[in-house]
Amino acid sequence: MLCYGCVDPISFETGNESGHMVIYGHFSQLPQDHFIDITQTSGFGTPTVPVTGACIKISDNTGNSADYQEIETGKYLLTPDDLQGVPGRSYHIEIVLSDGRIYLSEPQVLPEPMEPDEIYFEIGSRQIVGGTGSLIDKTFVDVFIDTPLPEASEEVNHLRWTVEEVYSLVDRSCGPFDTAETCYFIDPIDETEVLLFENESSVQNYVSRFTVRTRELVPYDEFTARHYFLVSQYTISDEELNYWKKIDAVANQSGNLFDVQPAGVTGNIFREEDGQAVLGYFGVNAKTTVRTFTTPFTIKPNPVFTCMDQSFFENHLPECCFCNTKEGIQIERPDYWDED
Amino acid sequence: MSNLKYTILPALLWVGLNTTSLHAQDLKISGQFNDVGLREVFRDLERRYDIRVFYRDQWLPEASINHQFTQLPLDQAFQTILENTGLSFVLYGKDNVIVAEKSRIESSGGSHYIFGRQPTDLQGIDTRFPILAVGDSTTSSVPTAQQITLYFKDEDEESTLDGVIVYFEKYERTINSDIYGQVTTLLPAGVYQMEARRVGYQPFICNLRVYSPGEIEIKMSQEAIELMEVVVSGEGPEQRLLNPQTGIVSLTPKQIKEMPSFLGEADVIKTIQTLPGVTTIGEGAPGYFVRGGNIDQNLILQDGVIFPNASHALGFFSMFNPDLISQVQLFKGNIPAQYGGRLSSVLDVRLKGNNYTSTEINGGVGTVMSKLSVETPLIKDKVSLLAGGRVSYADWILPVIKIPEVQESDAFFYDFNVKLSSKLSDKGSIAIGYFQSFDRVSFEEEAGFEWSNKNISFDWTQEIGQTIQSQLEASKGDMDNLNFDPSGLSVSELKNGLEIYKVKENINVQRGNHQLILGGEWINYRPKDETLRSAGSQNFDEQVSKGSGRELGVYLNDSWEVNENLALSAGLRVSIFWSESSEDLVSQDEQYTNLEPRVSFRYGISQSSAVKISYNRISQYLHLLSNTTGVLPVDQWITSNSGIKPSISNNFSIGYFRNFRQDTWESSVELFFRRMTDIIEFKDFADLILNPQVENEILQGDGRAHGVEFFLKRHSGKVRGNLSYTFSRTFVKVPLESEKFSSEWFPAKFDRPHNFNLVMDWTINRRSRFGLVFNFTSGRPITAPVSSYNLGNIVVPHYGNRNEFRIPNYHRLDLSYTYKRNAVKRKRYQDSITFSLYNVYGRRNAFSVFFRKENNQPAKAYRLSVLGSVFPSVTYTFTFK
Repeated sequence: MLCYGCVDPISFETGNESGHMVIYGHFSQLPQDHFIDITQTSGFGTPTVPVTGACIKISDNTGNSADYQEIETGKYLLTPDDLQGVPGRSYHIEIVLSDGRIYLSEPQVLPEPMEPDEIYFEIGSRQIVGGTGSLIDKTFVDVFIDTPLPEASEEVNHLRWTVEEVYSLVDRSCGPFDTAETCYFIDPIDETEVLLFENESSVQNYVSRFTVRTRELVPYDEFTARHYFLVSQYTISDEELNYWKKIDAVANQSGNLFDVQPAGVTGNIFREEDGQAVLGYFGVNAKTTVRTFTTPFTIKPNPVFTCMDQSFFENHLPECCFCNTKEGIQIERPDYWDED
Repeated sequence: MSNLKYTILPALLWVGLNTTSLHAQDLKISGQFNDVGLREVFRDLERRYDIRVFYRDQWLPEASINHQFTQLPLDQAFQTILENTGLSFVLYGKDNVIVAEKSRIESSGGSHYIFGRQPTDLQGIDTRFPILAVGDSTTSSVPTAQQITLYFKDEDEESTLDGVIVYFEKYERTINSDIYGQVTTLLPAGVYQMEARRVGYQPFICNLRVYSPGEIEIKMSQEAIELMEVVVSGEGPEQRLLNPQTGIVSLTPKQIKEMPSFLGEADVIKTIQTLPGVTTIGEGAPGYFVRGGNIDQNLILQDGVIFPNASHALGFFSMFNPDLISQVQLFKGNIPAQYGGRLSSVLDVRLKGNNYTSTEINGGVGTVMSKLSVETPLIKDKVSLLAGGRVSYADWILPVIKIPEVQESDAFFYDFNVKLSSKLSDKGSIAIGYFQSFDRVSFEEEAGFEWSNKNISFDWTQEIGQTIQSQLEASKGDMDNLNFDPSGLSVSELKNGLEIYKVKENINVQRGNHQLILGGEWINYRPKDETLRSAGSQNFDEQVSKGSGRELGVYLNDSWEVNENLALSAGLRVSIFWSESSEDLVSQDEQYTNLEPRVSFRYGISQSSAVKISYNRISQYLHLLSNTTGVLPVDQWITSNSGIKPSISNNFSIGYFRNFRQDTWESSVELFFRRMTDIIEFKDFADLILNPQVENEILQGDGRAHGVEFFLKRHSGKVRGNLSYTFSRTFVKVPLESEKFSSEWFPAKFDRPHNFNLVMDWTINRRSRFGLVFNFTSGRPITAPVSSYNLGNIVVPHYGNRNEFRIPNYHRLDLSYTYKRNAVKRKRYQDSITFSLYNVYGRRNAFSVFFRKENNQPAKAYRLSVLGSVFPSVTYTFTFK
């Protein structure tokens, strides 16, 4: 088989360093729950170990403060009732671990939010190279966002996006006493892409057709009803932009000669004792969320649905009869399902 | 064979002593010549018979001859041909006929000997070899020393031959020809047996008869059967032994052309990468590393013009057209004082351009490129033109690469050279050269690069008196780089470039056993503004002007043959650098002055072995800013300033050199040690683009490199080649943030401890030869993750210490087979076809190893192989003379 410029997995022994502290979370002006995760590394490719028993306090520059509550090991919650972010104020956290170690974040000003103008999608086919080297037509959906940028100001902020997909599956009656059910799933998109826009006000004042999500329409069953794309847009500072650019660089190495020299990336949280930075970041961001959805009618050519196209007498896939047996993160029916 | 092989200036005299060898005596020839000139007669005989005829054009009468003869012995045939022409001839060797004016031959000692009267001063000489006379034979010989100058040239390519070992048996004295092919010495009037040797050339032995001061031009013949050229580079065995310098490698165009190579294209830089101490990042990465130095520590010159980036197609090929090259020298040990500005090595490529007598056309069609070049006199003996170009057509090859981005990518390049040379007199010449190249590489719709060069050069070489040669060089190099992003939100063009103006005066003085080189060099480095322009914009969105710098180097170097055993070369270069900051940069003007001593000496332990030691100190004021895996075409060059100190290297080397079996085998062991200060490294995730405070992204620290190079080479026989092994280490010490500014030594990214090369050339017969190259190199260091963690849904690898791990070892076998349709060298049209297999066993050598998480899979290591399969190619080349 020809191999020119090919990429394949290899066995490569790296070191396994454990015990690096990782603190990650963010805080915004939205009246919603905010979380901080505290973990420790346990090697490469192995799950991190949650750190329990920490006390986390968030404070602003006007004297307000609130404590996070540990809702599961290593996961800490701040509700809107505890503290709500106000643009223009600065916030920082203080973490005291059970062994007495103290970690601090640098104060950050919560910026003004930037509201997106529009979120929309386009469906089309494109050719990709299959396993045998031949070109295959595949259908993809691309989700775009348009966002106006503020006029040039002293405080230049940038944008970061995260995307989640929510869809429903309607199973079928596979027996005389089986009724059709609808299940709802959320896919937080397990990918490494960091969606960033560096706002240089002298260059442009509008973000147009920024692609926030591209995915193949497979499996089609996820598109039998509405398929939502939920986009969260974060306004981030210069410092946070640089942090995410570094994360993007180390998480998306491609091995070619354009890769920058990788290194460990530390954020804005430091150990009080010696000022040593730890892994992770506490972001203070203006956040807005928008969504769009596809329906079976918007998809061309008409999709072939695995469950729906099975005849009554065929051996059904379990998830075709009982949608709650499908792998994935199942959620309650979202409120916006009825609003849109 | 219209040109006299051995031209004696001003007085030329050819005498054959061994007049009729058995071969010549036995040979019987036939001919039918009606109204044809003598020149045509000689050519016809040379084509039909295995003989060579030597003469000078001006001796031949214009009149035509009419002769017919059948199966006449050679000497009788020539008596017939030369009847009533005023010419005579002598036979020497087994197949040579020397034609000269009758008076010259009759007045020569050799001619008297033919007729039974040998001059007294010729008694006792070895009559197997011809006599060359220097000076005016009519002047009475005086016993005082006469200054004579020998010029060595390639008989076919007209290029000067450096590194010719000239040995005068009577005085047991050995002298090397310099880069101009010149040897000057003092000899009393008399006859001396002289032997000249150079790798790849037939030994030239003669009796040198010195009458009075004079000059002589000697054209050395390449191996009689071209296919028996030595494959791999290197100096001649004697030269390597006798030259006091360490780490010098000379290459001839044929040696470069006959290396098995990627896509069948001969390449200078790919060839030097088979030498000990030279490594690279891997396929598809520009540049090379020499003895622990970074890519930007190599000075690359073509006819004196500095090439900051000499790579085509991201390093798959170099910009040097092998058909135009006269000579290549790589200095990787002791760099002579006339060179400066780079810490590790000098690659000095010289083009042809002094062929004033005959036309030669070279060309070829290969798998990915075609080429054509011509070398011809425009005005005979006065003006010569050299022109050649190459153009690629790699588009068809990209779709076979199974990566969508590559399949939709594009790669294209061209280059061409024009050089006009003119003789001002017998002692002077000028040359004007122009080089232009263009490269474009694009990657799907994501991004691409364009880079181009426009270089112009001027050279004036003049001999002053008998012992001084002056060479004035002036050049301008103009490089433009472009990084374009043709799609997406950030449609833009990022540009930068570099202009280099250079003037150099080099004076070469030969005084007895001393060869003195002195001169000065002025270089103006002018990095172009770095600009960013978005799509549709007429103005630059961002522009950062770069500082510039001027470097002055003055130098003096003396090479002294103290005695038969001891040779010494000592020099000093003083470099002064002035930086000029720009309004955008935060750095200030600064001036630096550095003294750069260069010392080397050789002690001959015996006739066949020697020890050499060298030390030199070099400063570098121009730096490449690159923090990616490989150097990118758009990487910037920046001059030293108040924020970036010059890098300095102290280079030591010691070597033991020994030849075996009458110089058939050559071996050496060289140890080197380098200590560098203020070398350039970069902060983690350095932001080098459009950054007016780029100095803040640079870390300067110390570097150290050491190693040992073993080299074994076979020069003659049906199977030739070389074998080398290098063990070396290179470390850097800078305060890295990711390592808590600990300033510990860590391996440089080009630290590859083991490097083994085997190059073999098997001459199967006169028409066919087989080549083999095998390379093994330790994997290069990389920074690898030691743990991983999650930021929301993103799995982030946490990288450990810089360059702590290594990618897998690299090894590769290449084979080639060349078939030459015409093995007779004197045929005017010669062509050959070469079949090459690159990476024969299809090893997937890792260009890089990286770590990535794919969808729902855990993060793991991946290997990128640029050429992970065997790559066949066919190349057809031709020469027409």
